[in-house]
Amino acid sequence: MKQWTVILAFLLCSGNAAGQSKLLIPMDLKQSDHLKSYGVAFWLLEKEGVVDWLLNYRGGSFLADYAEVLARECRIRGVSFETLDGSAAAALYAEVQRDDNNMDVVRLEKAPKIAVYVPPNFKPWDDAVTLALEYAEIPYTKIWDEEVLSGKLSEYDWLHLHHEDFTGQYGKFYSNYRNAQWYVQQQVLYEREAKRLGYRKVSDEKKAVALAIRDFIGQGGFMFAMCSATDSYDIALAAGGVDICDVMFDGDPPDRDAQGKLNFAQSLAFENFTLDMNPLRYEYSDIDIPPSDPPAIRDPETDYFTLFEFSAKYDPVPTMLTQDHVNIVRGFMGQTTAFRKKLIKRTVVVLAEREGTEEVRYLHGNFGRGTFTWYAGHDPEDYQHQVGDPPTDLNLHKNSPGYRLILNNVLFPAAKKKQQKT
Amino acid sequence: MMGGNLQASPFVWNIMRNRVLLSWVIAIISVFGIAFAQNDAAAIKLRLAQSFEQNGDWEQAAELYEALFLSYPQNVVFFEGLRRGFTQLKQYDKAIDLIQDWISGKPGNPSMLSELAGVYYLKGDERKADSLWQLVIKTDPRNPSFYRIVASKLMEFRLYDRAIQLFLDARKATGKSDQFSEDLASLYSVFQQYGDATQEYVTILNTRPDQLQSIQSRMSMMISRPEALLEARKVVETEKNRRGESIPLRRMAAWLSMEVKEYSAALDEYRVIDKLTKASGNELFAFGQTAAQERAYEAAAKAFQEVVEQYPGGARFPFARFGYARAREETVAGLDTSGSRAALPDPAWPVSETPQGFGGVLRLYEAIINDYPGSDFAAQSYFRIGVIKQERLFDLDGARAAYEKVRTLQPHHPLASEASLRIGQVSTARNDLVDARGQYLKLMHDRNPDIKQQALAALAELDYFEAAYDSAETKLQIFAASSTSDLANDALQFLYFLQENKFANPSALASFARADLLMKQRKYSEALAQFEECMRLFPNALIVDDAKMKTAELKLLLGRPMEALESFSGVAAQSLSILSDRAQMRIGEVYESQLRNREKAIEAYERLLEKYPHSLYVDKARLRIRMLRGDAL
Repeated sequence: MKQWTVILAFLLCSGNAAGQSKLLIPMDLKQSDHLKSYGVAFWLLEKEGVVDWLLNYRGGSFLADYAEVLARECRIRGVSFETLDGSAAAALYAEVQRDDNNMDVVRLEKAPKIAVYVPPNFKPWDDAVTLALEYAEIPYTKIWDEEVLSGKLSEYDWLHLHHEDFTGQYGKFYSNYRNAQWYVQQQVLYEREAKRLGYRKVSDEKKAVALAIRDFIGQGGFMFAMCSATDSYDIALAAGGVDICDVMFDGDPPDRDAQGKLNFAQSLAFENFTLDMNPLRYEYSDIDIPPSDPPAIRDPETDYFTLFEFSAKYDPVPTMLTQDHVNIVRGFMGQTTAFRKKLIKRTVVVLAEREGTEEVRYLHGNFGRGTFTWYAGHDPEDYQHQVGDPPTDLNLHKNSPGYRLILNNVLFPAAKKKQQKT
Repeated sequence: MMGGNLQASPFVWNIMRNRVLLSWVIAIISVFGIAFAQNDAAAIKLRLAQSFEQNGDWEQAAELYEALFLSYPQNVVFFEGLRRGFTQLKQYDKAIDLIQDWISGKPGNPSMLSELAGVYYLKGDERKADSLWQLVIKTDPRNPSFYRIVASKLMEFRLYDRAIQLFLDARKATGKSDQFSEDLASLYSVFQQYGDATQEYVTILNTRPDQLQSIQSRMSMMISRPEALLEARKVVETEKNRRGESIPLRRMAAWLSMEVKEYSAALDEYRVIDKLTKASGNELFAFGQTAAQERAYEAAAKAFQEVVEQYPGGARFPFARFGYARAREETVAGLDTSGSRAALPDPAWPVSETPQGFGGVLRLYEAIINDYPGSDFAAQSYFRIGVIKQERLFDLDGARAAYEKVRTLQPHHPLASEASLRIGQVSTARNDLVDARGQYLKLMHDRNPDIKQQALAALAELDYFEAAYDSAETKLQIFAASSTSDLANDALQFLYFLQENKFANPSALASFARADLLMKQRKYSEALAQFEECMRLFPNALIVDDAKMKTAELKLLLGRPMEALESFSGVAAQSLSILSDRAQMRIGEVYESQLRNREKAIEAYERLLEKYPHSLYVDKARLRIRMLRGDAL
């Protein structure tokens, strides 16, 4: 790796800017593997190279100085690329940076350090984000409660939340799976961990974790969450000090006035939501639309959502997050399928929604010096995933627009300087 | 009229009696009617309460249950509903009073006492809860049901450790060391205390040996974790050493050994099982079959051999002899996988052995034929002899003779058709194409569709060798029409090859076909010369690249890899050739597997990616590069 770094550095420094050949990784329909393209960009950043993200140019393409080792890596990973000579590259920059073009260049300088919050029994194929990271060969570190509570989050730039239930209700799988071995084992594991960390209840421990994560964001961290890790997280924040868990989850019945005691000032994205505290229902609140219990019958052929367009020059952050080679993305369900629009705080930016409905699919917000991005649904290439279903094989979905949205979030922290524009 | 006459007329009496009767009837109906109406109302209220309960609306539910209970204080359904309501609403004192009243009216109810303890626990009075649970147990310390009642409550409150301890205490109190084994096994498993869980399963097995399969099924999930499997084996091993005569334990030990592919250890167990059960080799034989199915041929051979040597008169004897020969054949052929796949090295079994090689295997089959002339064993043995002689030793005369014997012995057996197919192959190898064709034509009437298809494919190939291209095409097109055939892809490829070259240069094709036939006959040097002649005579023919590929493959077979690389490179350099990418792939493969030159191999595969980014081979090339680079995949 060090040898490659030296070679790369030499090659990058040896030519002058005007004459330097460039390697373009297009991200439009010509790209053979969009997801691995993010991996190549990340790989280059790890080697201390520099990548320019050309927002809104051919689907959000990547541009870097040409190096044979980079070209080889693209070939080995199956990523399409084009070579541009110096003048073509200069013309490209000029086009992208023209005032009348809704495009811009964002320089990615540093490979972010990524942490994924997962329990010890986690399998990578259980979660769309880890699937994407594994496929794109982007390294990440697994952390759990102890690391979060002991302040280790400060060592990372980007945190992904697995499908954790921060309310302490074990995913609300009680009704159907309470006697399943995996459910019982999970509950035992969590209880032991909570006890070991000094908490009487799992729900109390998870709330502490939620607060620690919020502090991480406030201090400049980036948080990405999908599916029920989104609304359950916010519910946990709003329910600080309130017992919303029934007896089978924490050993005692919930506070009867829990709803009235929620503090929406503590949550990040949602407010004025109504809890669903029935332990037999597979739902947390009315944030999720449509409700998961009973599961909605939707036609996958007509389920789409639209990505909003932002100004690349004045809103680079949402622009980065919505880079894709299509504007309309196929929908997919999950325990949290979409966010109810009227419950979203006004300070939050909606990035995508199902047009003509109350369903918001993708949103982004700031907290303190950091940001959070939440993406509803479980798996962009598995319309209605059930417990025990086989994992998605991303070799069959190399060009998934839905998965690209996940990976946009991985690279976005590498563009720290650019964010200051907003 | 009654008046001063005290005795009414019969008619009047009747009327009066009817009226009274009617009044009684009306009264009774009214009472029942009211009762039914009340029951109806109660039923409706109950359903409503249950609906509220299901929706989590405990205030409403409790209110209704309370009203119902007041009306029907002996009704257990209403009592239970109200109890749940009070508990859910955290009205623990009310719940306690309710239960205590209930118990006072119906003493000797351990379940209810346990419920009462539960409410105290929820209230936070753990001491009181404990004392009540103890009271339940003390009611009859030797009664396992009472322990179960309390344990169930403890588990409800997720006090698993205490439930485990309670079960263990119950054992001491009842004096039954196997009491609650199933419950404990589940609990230990959940807590990942795999050794303890296995110990409980062993306890169940010791008392109920007929439960082996059920236990194996329950343990299967647990032992999917490597650490659990390791723990389980240790426990079973210890227990087995303690109770050496226990057959179920031995079976369990054997099963666990096979889970880690330690077949020699499993064989040791079956050896003992066979002796203990006086199975006269049946257990060993069954193990041999299982091991063979799992391609653990060394172990299978050993098992069969023991049956043969120790139980010469048994019913399984001839089967074991054949099994032994077959397993030996596979071992010699280097297909044994038990050594390479075992998690831990098994010192008893080298990957391949048998200094006699195929010669020894042939002798085994011949001995079977001698001892069981005319039998199915003999037919099978002849067939195997034919295969060995044809494929391994290239003794074509010997192979044919063996196949002929199969046909003679079992003319209607499916093996006879297989034998005929192979005779056709042998005849082709001997350049007796007329005889080969005859064999295949007869098979066109075979009942087995697979045999017919193979025969058809072979006839198409013969047509090709004899330059009857139209006839070959017709036959191959039959495959093209059948998408379910396994041979369809190869047939299609062959068909396109014929069509392309038949029109372009039929003479070149004929020359190529002659060389191809020589190659099929393993006359490699002659085939090489013929291909080179073809290239010399027809340098501009389309088929030249195919010929180059063949010469390269032949050079590899003749142990000349560098020359082979040169030939492949010649094709790879032809940018317009449809075989260039395949040639480039072969270059990489030769460097990798024959010349063991990692860097050159990577270079060759990378070149394929660079020059042929849309090739069918790119995925394979990428995989090879990643493997050679040592990338974590």
